[in-house]
Amino acid sequence: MFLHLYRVVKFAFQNFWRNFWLSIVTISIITLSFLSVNFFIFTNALVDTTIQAVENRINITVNFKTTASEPDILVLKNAVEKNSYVESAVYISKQIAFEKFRAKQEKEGNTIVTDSLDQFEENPLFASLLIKAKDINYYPAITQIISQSQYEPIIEKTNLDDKSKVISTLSNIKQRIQQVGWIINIFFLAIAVLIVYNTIRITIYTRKEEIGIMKLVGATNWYIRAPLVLESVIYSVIAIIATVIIVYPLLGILQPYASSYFDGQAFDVLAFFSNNFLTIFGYELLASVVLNVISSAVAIGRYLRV
Amino acid sequence: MIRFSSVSKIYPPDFTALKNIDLEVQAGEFIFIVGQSGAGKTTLAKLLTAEERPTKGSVMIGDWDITKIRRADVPTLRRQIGVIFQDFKLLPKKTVHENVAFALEVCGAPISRIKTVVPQVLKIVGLEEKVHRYPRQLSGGEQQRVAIARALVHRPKILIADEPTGDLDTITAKSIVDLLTKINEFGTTLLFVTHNRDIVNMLKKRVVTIEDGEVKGDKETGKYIL
Repeated sequence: MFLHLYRVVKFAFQNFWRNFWLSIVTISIITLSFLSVNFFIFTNALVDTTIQAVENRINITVNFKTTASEPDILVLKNAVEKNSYVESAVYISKQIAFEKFRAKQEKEGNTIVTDSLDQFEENPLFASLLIKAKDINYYPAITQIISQSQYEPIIEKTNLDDKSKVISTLSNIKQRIQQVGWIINIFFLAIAVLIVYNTIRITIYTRKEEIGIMKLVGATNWYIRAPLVLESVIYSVIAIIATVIIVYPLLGILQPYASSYFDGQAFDVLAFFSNNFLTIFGYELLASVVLNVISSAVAIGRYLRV
Repeated sequence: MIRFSSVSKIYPPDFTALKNIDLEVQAGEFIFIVGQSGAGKTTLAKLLTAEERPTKGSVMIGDWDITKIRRADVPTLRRQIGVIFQDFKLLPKKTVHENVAFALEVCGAPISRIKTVVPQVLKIVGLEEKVHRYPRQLSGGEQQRVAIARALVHRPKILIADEPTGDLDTITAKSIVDLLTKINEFGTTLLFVTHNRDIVNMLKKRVVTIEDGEVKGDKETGKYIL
C-alpha cells in the first residue's frame, strides 16, 4: 500500500516536471482564473463599501417637545434600543444640544449667534434621539415603534417623511445591485469553472496515448488515475501560490486609489484581503482542487477503456 | 495452452473481422500469424489481451476463459502476457530503465526486485549502456528492444509480437527476430503477427494464414503463400 502511494506521488511529481511546459501553461490558465475571481471579489468589496458609505449617512432624528421629560424620552430610547434592527440610538439632551450648537458657532466665529444665545432665559433647542438601523431595509420597522400613540405627546417632529423616500430609493438601488451582483457572480464563476475544467481536459487529452500504453502494460485504472489526479492538485496549489504573489503587489498599487475613492469612509483593500486571507484563498484552493479532481477523473475515464 | 474455439468478431454494424476461428497453440511454440492488411491478424492478437472481446466463441489461456474476464481482472491478464507492437508504445516521458521498470511497478514489485531484474533484462536486449535515455533519443530498433525488455521483465509465458518489425529496416528487423527466436528457445510461447514474407520463409516455423477473417492455412513448417 505504502509502496503504491510512494509510486503515485513519485509519478505525479515526475510527470509534472517532465511535462514542464504543459504544466506551466495549465498553471497559468488556472492562475488567470484565480486572478479574475479575486478581481471580482475586489469589486464586490468596493461596491459593498460604497453602499455601506451611503447607508451610514442615513439615520432618523426624533426631536422632542421642550415639555417632554427626560424619563419619558428614555422610555422611548429603551424601546427603540431593544429592537434587534437598531444599531444605535443616541440621546442628545437639550443641554448637550445647546453646548454643541454654541461650540459650533464659536468655532465658525458667529459672534452674533453666540451673543443671541446668551439672551435666552431658557434653552430653545430640542432634545433629540439619533437612530441608526443595522440595515437600510429596517427603517420602516423602526418607524412603526416611534409612531406608536403612546409616544405622540412627547414628540415634536421627526424627519421620517423627509427620509422615507431616500430610504426607499436607496433600498431599491441596493436590492438591484445585489441582484445584478448575484447574476454577474454566477456568470463569472461559471466561466472560471468552464475554463479550468476544459484546461484540465485538454491536459489529459494530450496524455491519452500514454494512458492507453499504461493500460496495455497491465496498470490498473487506479494506478493510472491517481498520479494524474494528484498532478492536477499540484497545479492548483502552485496556481494559488502564484495568485497570492501577484495579487498582493497589485492591491498595493490599487490601495491609494481605493482609499481616495471614498470621502470619510475607510476602505483598506489590503487589510480586507489580509483579514479574509484564509477564506478567500482557502476556498479558491479548495474549489480548484475539487474541480480539478473531478475534471481530471472524468477526462481520464474516457481513455481508460482500452 | 491457447485455444480459440469458433471465435467470431463482428464490428457494428456488420463488418466481420474474424469468422469461426479454431486454433490451438501449444506451450513453448513459435507461431506466425500471417495475412494481408485488414485480414484480421491484429484483431486475433487483441482478443488475447482483452483489448477486444469476441462476438461469438471462446478464447482460453490454460484453463482461463478470457472471453468472460471481468474488467477488473484485465490488468492481471495483461501482466501475464508480454506484448510488443509495431509502433513500440513506449512511454515518451520515461527513460529506458523507467519504461521497463513500469511493467514491474504496476504489479507492485518491490524496489529491490526492480533494481535487480531491470538491468538483467536490459542486458539481454543489449541496452545496458542506454538505460537513462528517453525513447526519442533511441533508434527504431533500440526502441523495439526496450519494448521487448518491458514485455519480458515479468517473465510472461506468452509473448505476442504484433508486426514488431513493421517500422524497421531489414538488418534491424533481423536482429529483432533473432532476439525473439532466442526468447522462444528459453520456453516462451511466441505469437508473431506479421506480413513480412522474408522473415516467415527464413525461420520455417508454424504458419497460420488468415484471409478475410478466416483461417485459410495452418502448416507446421510453413511458408508465406499469399
